[in-house]
Amino acid sequence: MVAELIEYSTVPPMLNLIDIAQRDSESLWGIACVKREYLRPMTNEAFLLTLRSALQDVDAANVFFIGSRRIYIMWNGDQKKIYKQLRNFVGSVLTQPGIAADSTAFISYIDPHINSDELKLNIREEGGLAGFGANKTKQAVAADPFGEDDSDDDDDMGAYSNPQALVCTGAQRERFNETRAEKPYRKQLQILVVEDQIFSQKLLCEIIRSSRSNGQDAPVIDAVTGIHEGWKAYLKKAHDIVFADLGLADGSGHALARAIKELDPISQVVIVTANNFEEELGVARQNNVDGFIAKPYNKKQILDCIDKYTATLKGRGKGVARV
Amino acid sequence: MSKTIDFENLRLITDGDQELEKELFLAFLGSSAECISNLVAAYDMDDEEDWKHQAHALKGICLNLGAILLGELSKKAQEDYRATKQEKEKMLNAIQSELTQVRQIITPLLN
Repeated sequence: MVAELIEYSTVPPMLNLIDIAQRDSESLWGIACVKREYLRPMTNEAFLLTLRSALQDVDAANVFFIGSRRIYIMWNGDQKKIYKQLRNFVGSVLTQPGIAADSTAFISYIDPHINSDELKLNIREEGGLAGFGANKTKQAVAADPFGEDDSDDDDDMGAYSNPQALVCTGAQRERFNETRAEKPYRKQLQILVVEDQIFSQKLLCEIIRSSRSNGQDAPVIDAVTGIHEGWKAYLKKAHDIVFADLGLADGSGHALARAIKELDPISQVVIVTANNFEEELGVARQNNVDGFIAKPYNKKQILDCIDKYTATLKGRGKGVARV
Repeated sequence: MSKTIDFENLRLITDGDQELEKELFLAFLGSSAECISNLVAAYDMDDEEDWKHQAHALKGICLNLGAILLGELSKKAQEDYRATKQEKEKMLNAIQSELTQVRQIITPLLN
């Protein structure tokens, strides 16, 4: 039986532990993520008590009840063996009737040496530290930790709203996260261009297409003319880079940039505008965009943005792996 | 070639591909026609915000093409969006006149 099983319901202790695991490349920390939607209704205490049986071979384990949809289990021990034990145990004892014990839908393995950065972002968001539905998440955890949670429902429009009504539902966000996790494995860069003047749009797309000259496949470009179209496209494909104009017919590119950065802080958003004013630059900075290019833009400015992203991607490692 | 249009930046992008240039010139003609039509409508309707938006849009495509003077006239129109109707009429005439010059340079390049 596990000697020490510690329970947490806040994000910072998990971030600290991930850092520790990440720093020590020899460490044996493993992480499993359990989706609550597949579990039987039960309290955190009941979950912990039952879980102990699956953690017989480790000295210490930590369980993090982050947000309302995920439970993370971190242990220091044989990663593969313990993960298999956990999967079999949770699958056969803790999941709802009808869920196959050998299914991998309810649990996934996360290697802290490879996927730490992405994991940290995810738990910050789930725990409300990234500004997403913080109040809702806290209420759900405090009031009904293992009860039925409707945050995945499509009609949950308020959870991720912003003033420009660029919203996503819980289900859309779930799908988006899955798409985003595939980013590092894509063969071609996916680039979104949001520009309502066809001439400028064509010009920008042409520059982007020319970026294949450094030996890579040409990027896949989606070109749209408004922020709402842009938002929909981003939710669907989680583009690697977004180039957005400011003065668009259905709203400001700032609103789109802000919404994308809130949804996906590691996204690469570049503003391209003829409004080269300090005020606009200030708003762009507040939104944490990654570039601000004044028209007329030249080829080098655009290609530099793409090169910068490609270099970042190489340095970041791979996405969340599944065992 | 002309003070009206500086093609240097555009040609760095097209890398001398004449077919691509033609495609871009056609797109410019379409976009600029749309902008000027909307600018005239904003003038007729006394819609300051739309005037500002359309002048901004025209400025963006002119700068990207290299139509420097037309870009400057559009910029002035954007900045002076609260000007009187009489002043706006003068701005509109100057923009339309310069746009005609730009078209006269571009159109032969389409053949």
